Amino acid sequence: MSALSLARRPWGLSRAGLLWGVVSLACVLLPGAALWVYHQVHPFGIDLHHRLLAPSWQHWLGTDPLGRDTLAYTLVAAVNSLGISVVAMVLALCAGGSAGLLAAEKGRRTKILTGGVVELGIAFPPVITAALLVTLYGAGMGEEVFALAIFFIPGFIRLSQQAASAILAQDYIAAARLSALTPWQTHMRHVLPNMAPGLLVQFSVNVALALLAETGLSYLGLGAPPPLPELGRILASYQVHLFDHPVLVVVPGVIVVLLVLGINMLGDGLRDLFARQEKTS
Amino acid sequence: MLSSVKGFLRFAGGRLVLLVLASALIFSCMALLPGDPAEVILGVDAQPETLAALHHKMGLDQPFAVQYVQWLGRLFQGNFGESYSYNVPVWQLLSERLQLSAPLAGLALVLAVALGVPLGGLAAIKRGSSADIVLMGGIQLTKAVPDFWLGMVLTGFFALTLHWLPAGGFAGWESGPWPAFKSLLLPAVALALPQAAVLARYTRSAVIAVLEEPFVLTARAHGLSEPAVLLRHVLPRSLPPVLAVLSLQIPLLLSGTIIVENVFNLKGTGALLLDAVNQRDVPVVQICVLLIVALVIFEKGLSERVENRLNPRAHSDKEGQGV
Repeated sequence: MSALSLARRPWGLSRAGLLWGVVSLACVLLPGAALWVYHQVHPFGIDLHHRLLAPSWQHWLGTDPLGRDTLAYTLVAAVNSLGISVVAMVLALCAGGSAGLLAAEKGRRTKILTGGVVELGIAFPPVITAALLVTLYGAGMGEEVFALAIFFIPGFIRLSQQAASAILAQDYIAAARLSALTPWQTHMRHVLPNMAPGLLVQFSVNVALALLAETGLSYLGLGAPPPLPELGRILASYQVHLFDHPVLVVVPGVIVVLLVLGINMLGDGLRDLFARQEKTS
Repeated sequence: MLSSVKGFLRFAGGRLVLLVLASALIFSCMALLPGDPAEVILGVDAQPETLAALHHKMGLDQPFAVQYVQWLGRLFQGNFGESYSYNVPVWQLLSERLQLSAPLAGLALVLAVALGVPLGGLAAIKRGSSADIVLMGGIQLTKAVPDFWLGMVLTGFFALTLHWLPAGGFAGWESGPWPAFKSLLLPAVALALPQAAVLARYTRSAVIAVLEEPFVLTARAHGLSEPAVLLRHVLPRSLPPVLAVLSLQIPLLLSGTIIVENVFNLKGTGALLLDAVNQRDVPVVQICVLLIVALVIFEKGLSERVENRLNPRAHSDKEGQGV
């Protein structure tokens, strides 16, 4: 069952989903990106005179235990968390995609080797890899990205191997080879463009999963080191105010939900779009 | 008969190779640790002779490969080493903590399956109805919720506002099964709901795919009642893909347990692992990580075998099952 064959929704519904996905991502990321740039120049300071303020015109959702604007701080954290997840998934896509392509082309040994890598990779959830790496090297952004990427490489390998095997068996690949294209040209012109839609859909699904895993890692303190705001870390520091200032706990969580929901909707919409193109072409 | 024995041996062999590879990876990671474990135990200003004696006792003066083989041999004898920070056998620590974590993960798994599979099946049968649309919306939303944050929200509502359930901590099994169950209920629900949503979504597509098969039409044409069609023909054939998804969800459920335990201040395996990471308690980190990795490796192999048993047609087109 390929990712594309799951598409069974009416086109109107998937277009609405696509639109909702873009809107909910834009709602978080546009102000988030603006605030992120602003706070590179003016970092968040600690202002104990204005701690735990109620929502007002100046601070839309109040201030946090250290006197920072809750909404602005959370939005900046969202940009950091999503950035880390996207970087990790780009790494996983490159590593897994090329390994899968190689396995589809080469002989039995490469297949067994990548099969082993797939089985091993799945057995190391991000929290486990991060626990190992943090014990070894201490908390760091590189460790976090690596821990996230490892777990998602197997999925990319499997998908790209399946897709590449199906494509390599087609007549147009034989035709391309007969017309004296080099293997590199065949891959760039005929194999990769046909693999791209499936990989892109998988990429979007995995970014959403990686973001959920990233908030978990940073919640446990296994993410990037402290001054960097991340959604999980700020949830961990706001958790004690669950009873007296519940809004502090609600805001970061709702931002995570909006982001993950937006990415998933976007992914589902893209999948339907590609399936539709495949049918019409 | 012979082929099934052969198949089992290939399966067990493949899993064992994976486990040895994983354990080598974990061991070499921890052996690369900068700093000297003997120094961690004795403190920085230990006498060189004491250090050397401890080195010898721990086998740290041996070559790396020998250390690994010795470690593996001890593991097979059931000797899991001794914690640096507690000075007690790792197994003792782990078995205490597992009394909390294993029931928690088990309860979450049962809840996820009990909720996800029937709801997904229901959505498939009622496909296109308003119930299906509401369910699918709920599934999309629940899939996007981080389990540990759901735990906080549930605590805020059911523990701090309604006072129905404890907000955190574990009552302990010695105080009776009911208080212990009550303290595990909220974390288990927080873990189970997002997983149930994923399961429901895949159950729905699996059941829809089976409902379109010609044999369902045949069964109906034979005059079989609708429940009989669903239970006897549709359910068994939609299980393999659901099982495949479930087996992929289990690593996430196990790592989710580590995070959710932290939210509810439960002193389980997750707390043990995190404390060990912070104190660089290498033997404890090694064993906790190895335990989870081994669980995933065997669970995955087992579910693949069950899947093949349920769906013999897929058996012939799969390659390299042993690995």
